[in-house]
Amino acid sequence: MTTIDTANKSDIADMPAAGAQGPVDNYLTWTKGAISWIFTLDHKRIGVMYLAGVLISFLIGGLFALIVRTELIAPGATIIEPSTYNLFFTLHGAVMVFLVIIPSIPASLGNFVLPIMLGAKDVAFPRLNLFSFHLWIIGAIFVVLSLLLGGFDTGWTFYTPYSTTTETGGVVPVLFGVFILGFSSIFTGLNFVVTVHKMRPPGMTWFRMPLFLWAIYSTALIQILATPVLAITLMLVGIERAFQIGIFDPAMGGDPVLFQHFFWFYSHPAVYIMILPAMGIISDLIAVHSHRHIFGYRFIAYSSVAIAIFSFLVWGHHMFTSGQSALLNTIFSAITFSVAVPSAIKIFNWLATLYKGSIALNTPMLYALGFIFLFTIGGLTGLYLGTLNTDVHLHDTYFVVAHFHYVMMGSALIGFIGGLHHWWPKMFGRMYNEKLGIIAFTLVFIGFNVTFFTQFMLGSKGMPRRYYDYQPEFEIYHFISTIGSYVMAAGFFLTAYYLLASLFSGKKAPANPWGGRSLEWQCTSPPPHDNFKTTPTVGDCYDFSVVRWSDEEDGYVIDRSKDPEIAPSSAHSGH
Amino acid sequence: MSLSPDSPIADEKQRLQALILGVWLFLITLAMVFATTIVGYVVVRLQLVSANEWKPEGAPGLPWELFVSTLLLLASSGSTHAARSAVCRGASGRKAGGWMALTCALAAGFLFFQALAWSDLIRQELTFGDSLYAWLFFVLTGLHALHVLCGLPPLGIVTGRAFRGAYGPEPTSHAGLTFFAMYWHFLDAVWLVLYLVLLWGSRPG
Repeated sequence: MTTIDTANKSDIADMPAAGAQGPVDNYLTWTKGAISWIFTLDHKRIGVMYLAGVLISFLIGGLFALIVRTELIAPGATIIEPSTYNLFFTLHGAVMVFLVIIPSIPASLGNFVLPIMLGAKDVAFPRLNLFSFHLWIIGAIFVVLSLLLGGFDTGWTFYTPYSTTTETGGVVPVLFGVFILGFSSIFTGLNFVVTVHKMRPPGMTWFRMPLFLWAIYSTALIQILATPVLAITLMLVGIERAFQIGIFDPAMGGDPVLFQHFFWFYSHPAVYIMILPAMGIISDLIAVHSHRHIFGYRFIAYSSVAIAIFSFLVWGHHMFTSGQSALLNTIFSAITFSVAVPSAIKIFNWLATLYKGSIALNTPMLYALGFIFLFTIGGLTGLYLGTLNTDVHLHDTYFVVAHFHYVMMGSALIGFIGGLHHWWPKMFGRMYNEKLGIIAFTLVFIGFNVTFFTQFMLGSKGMPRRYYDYQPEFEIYHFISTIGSYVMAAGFFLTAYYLLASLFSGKKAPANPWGGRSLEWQCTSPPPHDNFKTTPTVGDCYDFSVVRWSDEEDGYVIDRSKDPEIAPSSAHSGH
Repeated sequence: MSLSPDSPIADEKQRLQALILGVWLFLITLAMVFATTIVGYVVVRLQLVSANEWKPEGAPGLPWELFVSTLLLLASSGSTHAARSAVCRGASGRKAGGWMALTCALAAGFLFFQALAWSDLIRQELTFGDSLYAWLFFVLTGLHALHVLCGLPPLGIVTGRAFRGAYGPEPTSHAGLTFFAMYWHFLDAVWLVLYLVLLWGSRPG
């Protein structure tokens, strides 16, 4: 199987953007057949396969969400039984968290873009990269298996003692599936850390890296440190379920709150595994699409690392009502507030970058602006939940549901979709329909706010989360929220349509459609198998003064003569 | 044999450094796994001791076999180190292979005495499902033994290669031995911490 990839083909990869229109070989057509994809070592193909897996999971998780929202459109039974409802909201959460958001940016877009941004041919350990993709597939199979065995109704958090006693048959397979997915995530993180440490090209110091790489790097550190805690905890829950004894079982003197501590020690950092890469994408999107040097580069870079560090110190804010001591609650509350500082640093720097920029309001940029708006709401409502006395009222209400959807979906997923639009021409060499892109964004943005802003009101009026039935006074809010979810779904289906259509009938993409300056815009679209013939030398990847539009290319080109730091394609190999 | 032929890093020395960093990160991951279980052990013990329910009446303490196995594992770490130093000095394959064979014997001895400790406790009617005292003992020692077992196939391969004289004094020419040694020293260190925790935990209060 290696022979397929390392086959000795003549190297016709052309590094500079100029002349990208010719019949250049690319990674998609390099070899043919399903086997050449399944066992590929090429990070780009692995990234594309992850992308396919993530998007299919997103469709499934989204359909579960629509079933849940439809059931809630009116009080009482609407379309499904209460026990089925429990299965569906659990599955929605588990699929979206473990199969969609966590792998979405690092494993799919990160895998594709990271080595190219570094001017490298691949990640440090290509075989380990393939292995983690195979682990992801096996983990996903276990999640599907748990569905066939009766599903699980524990909520995606698997709280004990319910998860060790519920009658649904899919608990053990899904625990095992998440365990395997965890290791997939760990190996991806490990690969990225080593790649960033050891494979930066000449000229790219730490503070010359595109900010997306800083974000992916910080994320990878969390993946390595936090995910093993979840893995072993879920194994302990599995053992406890099988033998009906364990350290989380209060009947034997165990402590179910200990499970919550372990679970959130992973799952709070996991929220940053989701949001940090999205913040990285937004940093790059804002700079590229407003054609302006990123403002406060170092502050954005350091704030990513700061968020990664803080992420390990705030898990107790999920447990204010668990009987945790007042002292611990106070400490966790205080540290939680401090997360607002690095988050706000990013927002202000993005706004400063936009100021006086020549902003192109195309689809990726709209998602970036949408991110800033939604993340601000998601972040600020987090302060109500971090404040002890308001949290006691809001805990386990729809306010929490709305808050984390603003962060996990409105921010992390919107960032992912924005990045997908940004790099889609690079990945597949085709432009999508820009008009449909703007319409779809509008539907998603309006639909999202109608769905989830309503839920802030529901929650502050006292509607508990996870409930199947509710008092009639909540009906109007639930009705509006469900209608919003349909609008959002329409937006996503439209996105799926025009992205797929672009593969067949899209205009050929130039090497640099947006005017980006980082290295991925300097190889052809789609990139050749080896990315770069020789290791390129890099300058300041946010200096857009050397980028100019070329009618001939129908895209942007980099005027190398204007930049003393990058000699025209005389890049030396080796580093 | 060239080191990690799929790697995009051209220079062998840099490739080795990347691999060593990768192994370190993997060991950090495993350290988090063990740290979690140890934290669980400490928390549950402290809570149960204050409720006077930790060690059941008449339950056995830490079996003597564990002391022997601790010495064996320490020694195996030493013999692995000796094998690696021999290779670095450019000693013959027989010498390095000999040290690695000793490591194999010591590893087998460690697992034998762990198994003996388990059967001893079961004979004294300390069973898995009876108390968290027993549950935690078996889960923690079992988790460590599982990692030792996973180390056996690489141990076998490294020993065979050492005997064949496949390792040279250059760091890039004995990378496999280096990675194994890192993993094995790590398991040794984890066991020492685990042993002390179990020793502390075997007291009734």
